[in-house]
Amino acid sequence: MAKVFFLYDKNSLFLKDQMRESDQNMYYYFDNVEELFLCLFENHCDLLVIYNLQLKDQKNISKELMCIFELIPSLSIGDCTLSIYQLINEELEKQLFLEKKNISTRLLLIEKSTSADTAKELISIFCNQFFTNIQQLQQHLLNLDRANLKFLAHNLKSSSANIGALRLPIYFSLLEGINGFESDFYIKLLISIALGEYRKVIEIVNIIL
Amino acid sequence: MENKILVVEDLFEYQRLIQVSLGLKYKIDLAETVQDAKSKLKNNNYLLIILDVHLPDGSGFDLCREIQFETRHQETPIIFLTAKNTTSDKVLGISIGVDDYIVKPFDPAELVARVDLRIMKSMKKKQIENSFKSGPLRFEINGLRLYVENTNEEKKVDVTPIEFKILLKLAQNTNCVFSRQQILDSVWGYNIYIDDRSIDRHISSIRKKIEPYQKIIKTVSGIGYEFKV
Repeated sequence: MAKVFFLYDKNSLFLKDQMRESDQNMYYYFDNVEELFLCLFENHCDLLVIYNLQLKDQKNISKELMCIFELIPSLSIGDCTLSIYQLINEELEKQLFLEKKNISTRLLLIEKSTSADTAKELISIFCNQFFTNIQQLQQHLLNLDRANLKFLAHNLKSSSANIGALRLPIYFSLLEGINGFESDFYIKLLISIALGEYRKVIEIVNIIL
Repeated sequence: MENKILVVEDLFEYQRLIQVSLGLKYKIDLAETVQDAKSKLKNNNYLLIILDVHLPDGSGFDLCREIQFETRHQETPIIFLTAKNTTSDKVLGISIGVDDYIVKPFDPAELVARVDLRIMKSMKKKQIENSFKSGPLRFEINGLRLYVENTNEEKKVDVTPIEFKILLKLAQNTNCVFSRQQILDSVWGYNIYIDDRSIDRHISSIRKKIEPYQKIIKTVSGIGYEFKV
């Protein structure tokens, strides 16, 4: 079940009412950006659907936060509402397909160059260490220890790229690149998104294996 | 030198992947930190060094510079294996004088191919530096071995270390005439008294051993000897 965050405004309230009960995705509705970000800390978002209308607090969105829009897989649906659920599902499938394809290709390559056992061993190392590392990352953020946070982010970028993950290395590359001007809010958000992506990768890896 | 490679890498999954990829051909020595690497480099010789850039106690770039200054490892090829994938990182790595720069994640087969190539090139270079050829003679300097051309193949000739040194001195200075005293000084060193006629006995022995090319050592009457190809 995918988690879809829906950003709408008063002009698109009717979309909320149109939500189909048969749709298997879980939808979260937001009419302002702040609420959306707060929810992002607690929940992984598979797809952000932005109904292309004026957001009431758009003027408060900093450039930094706009970057987050770029990071989360998103779908801008404009005025087209007829096949909205179909669009969402297609987009989710596309995301999953790309991630799955990349991970499978990488694991096959390792298998071919070494052995099937090696590929499995590398995955198990990744799965065993990654969660602890993410927790450590959060600890570094709490301790305001950006040097160690950057170092760990570099290692996580490396680890996730090694098993063929597509999006995870991008988030960690951004974390690795922080230079002191970014807010804790931005870093916290990046870590939250990465944690959700990590869970997705684990699911994919389990399917492949 | 043993068939040994030093891998400086702190991430366990990459340590394993490198070990599995290269372990069949080479003996892998692992170091997780700069300090660990330094202590291993102090006590061992390696065919090649694989260096991560981002290490817990320092930078692989700095370690690479230090290694290049040490006489012991000056000639050892170094490969950077890193997730630092920006152009500026690559340019910095290459400008340090590293032999190769591989970005993570890497293809294990490609790593093996690159490592093999670097080791082969380095060995070839050492072989060339160790080998000297003049006319029909080939000298392997480190092993004090002399080979003489014999139709299509080479024949190893047994010479004493002194004979080897005399012949090498002459062969490295083709068409130069050396007096007996000059040969004595360069082979035995100064402040050693040896009858300069003993040179004649050595030359006579060398000539017999390198037949049919004995005439390449010419006697220059009243002076000494000359190597003429």
